[in-house]
Amino acid sequence: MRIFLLTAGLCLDAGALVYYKYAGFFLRTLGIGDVLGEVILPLGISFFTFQAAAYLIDVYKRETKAEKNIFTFAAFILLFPQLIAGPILRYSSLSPRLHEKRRPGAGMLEKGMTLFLCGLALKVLLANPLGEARELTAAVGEDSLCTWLSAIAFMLQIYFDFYGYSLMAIGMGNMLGLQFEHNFRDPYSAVSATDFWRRWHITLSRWFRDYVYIPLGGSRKGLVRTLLNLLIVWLLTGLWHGAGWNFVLWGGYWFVLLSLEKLGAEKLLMKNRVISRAVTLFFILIGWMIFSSEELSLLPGQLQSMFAFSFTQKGLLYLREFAGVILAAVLLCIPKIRIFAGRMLVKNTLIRCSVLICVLILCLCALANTTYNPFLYFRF
Amino acid sequence: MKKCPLFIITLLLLFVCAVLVLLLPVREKSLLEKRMLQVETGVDMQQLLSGTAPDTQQLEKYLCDQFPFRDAAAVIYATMENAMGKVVRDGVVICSDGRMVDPACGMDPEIAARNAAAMETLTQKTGLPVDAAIIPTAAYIYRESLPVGIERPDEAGILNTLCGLASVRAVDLFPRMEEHKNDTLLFYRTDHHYTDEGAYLVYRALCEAWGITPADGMEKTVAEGFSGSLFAQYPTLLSGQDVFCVPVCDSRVLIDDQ
Repeated sequence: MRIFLLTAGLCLDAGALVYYKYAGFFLRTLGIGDVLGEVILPLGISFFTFQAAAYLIDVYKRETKAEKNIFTFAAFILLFPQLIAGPILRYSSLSPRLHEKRRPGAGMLEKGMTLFLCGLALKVLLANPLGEARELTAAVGEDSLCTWLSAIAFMLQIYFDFYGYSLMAIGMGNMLGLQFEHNFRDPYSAVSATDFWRRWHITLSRWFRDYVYIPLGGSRKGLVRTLLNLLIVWLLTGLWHGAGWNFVLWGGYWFVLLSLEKLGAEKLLMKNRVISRAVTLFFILIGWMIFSSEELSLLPGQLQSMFAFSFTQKGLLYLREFAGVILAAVLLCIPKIRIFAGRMLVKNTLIRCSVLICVLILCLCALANTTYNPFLYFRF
Repeated sequence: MKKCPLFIITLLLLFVCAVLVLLLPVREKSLLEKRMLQVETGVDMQQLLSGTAPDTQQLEKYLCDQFPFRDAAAVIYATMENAMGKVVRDGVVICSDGRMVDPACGMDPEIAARNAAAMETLTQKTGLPVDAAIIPTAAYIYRESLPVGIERPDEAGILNTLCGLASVRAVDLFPRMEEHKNDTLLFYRTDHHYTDEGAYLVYRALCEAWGITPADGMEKTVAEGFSGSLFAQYPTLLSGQDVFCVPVCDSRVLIDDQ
């Protein structure tokens, strides 16, 4: 009976995700895309279906108790701060706080607002201008500098967009008396692909590890089976990010990199941490190019343009235009600088208040000057 | 307040903004941006409650346009962008000397060729003498101070088209403006128009071409703190101050010395 209920629950959960997010994609691939008509994607479906699936499996494995209060369960599934773009929560981590009378103390309110404002600043003052940089430079076409700038701008944009939102979600959670896990840990300082995925979208990586990779056998059943398990996980990870062949290819790309590392490349990389960081960054950059390539046919041209070393004055113009924002973003990717800035904000109340109120005013000014700025991860 | 000052200040600030949006009168136009503002929210409560509201873009535009102290917000944001190194926005380019120009506001070569052909037809049909002049734009005159990567306008090419016409006499104003571009304020620093001095220089050049003695320059009053249409598109404080000059003329008309 338990296995039947689990299967039924998972089918219902995955069925909703497949219907809303992937049915159109698969039917279009088969050439019968019109059968389904227009399907409006529910906000945050990739996140709450994954949370629900994790809950069902945890209850089945008796790792957590089944929630008998529908309102408490609904609060877990629909918790608004993280509903639309994560982090993906496990019921066991949230359940105790949902059951008690939460009265966030002054410390939690202050910490929450600090994180919220930091996240807002990353999104509005960094990710949005980086998005503009990416759009303008991508439109130039055959200029190596513009192609590099476009790729770097997207790499930074997606990080600060997603990281910013995650901080805002964690901050809002704190202000409600809840603790959410951090989703990022300086991903662009990773020394290998494996290391990168320990630092990027941590809650998603852990979900796939706990609910797909390990149940499939993980790395315990020999090399071939390990590689097959990795392939399944990474194709699913790619598809999770969107219903498109670019995401599938991106998942496959990470599978290749991670497999190579499992086969021994990681040991080679570890010999020199500077080189390993540079090589990892380069492969992350290429990965984001695949990820953002909505028309895959254009990808070879973009890669060719990067290494053609043909320059126009347009590239120099955009380099000058966006050097400030790119430099600021790069500096914040360096762990030591981020930690130092964080400590200054935590330690000194005067600095925290004056800096973050100025930041809030700048954000309001920026928002008043622009209209719709959706978070990139909303679409996933 | 002592334990969570940031939390309280932020909530107060956001609360004050929200109250001001509700209390302040709806502004119809922005003098700074020189444009009409969104005055309708576009929110239909019935649609909203039934979940069939088509989109909220009009509401977002309303909130942006009616944001309290929007003009100050526009200036702060533009200045921040400029401070970060951005010199191009909405077609407005900030030159190395802080002057704002619009390189795209010059005449399109195709339109110029069409207009030239029309002028030639006019001359041929009427037999009247036709003189034509191209007023160069600030982007052309100060082209050497445009940032690298901005396409230089080819106004000399348009002039050549004009000069190539058999029956139209082209008056070349370029050398005169080039000669005085560093000692005279020919164009406003924040607008695409030329100043009274630029206009007077052109007038003198035309008079010379037509063999007329030009009138003397008029006295003028200078108004500080002028901001032109280019500033409206990129209202950065780092571009420097502009002034507006108005020639003072005697508005009385004398007829038969009375």
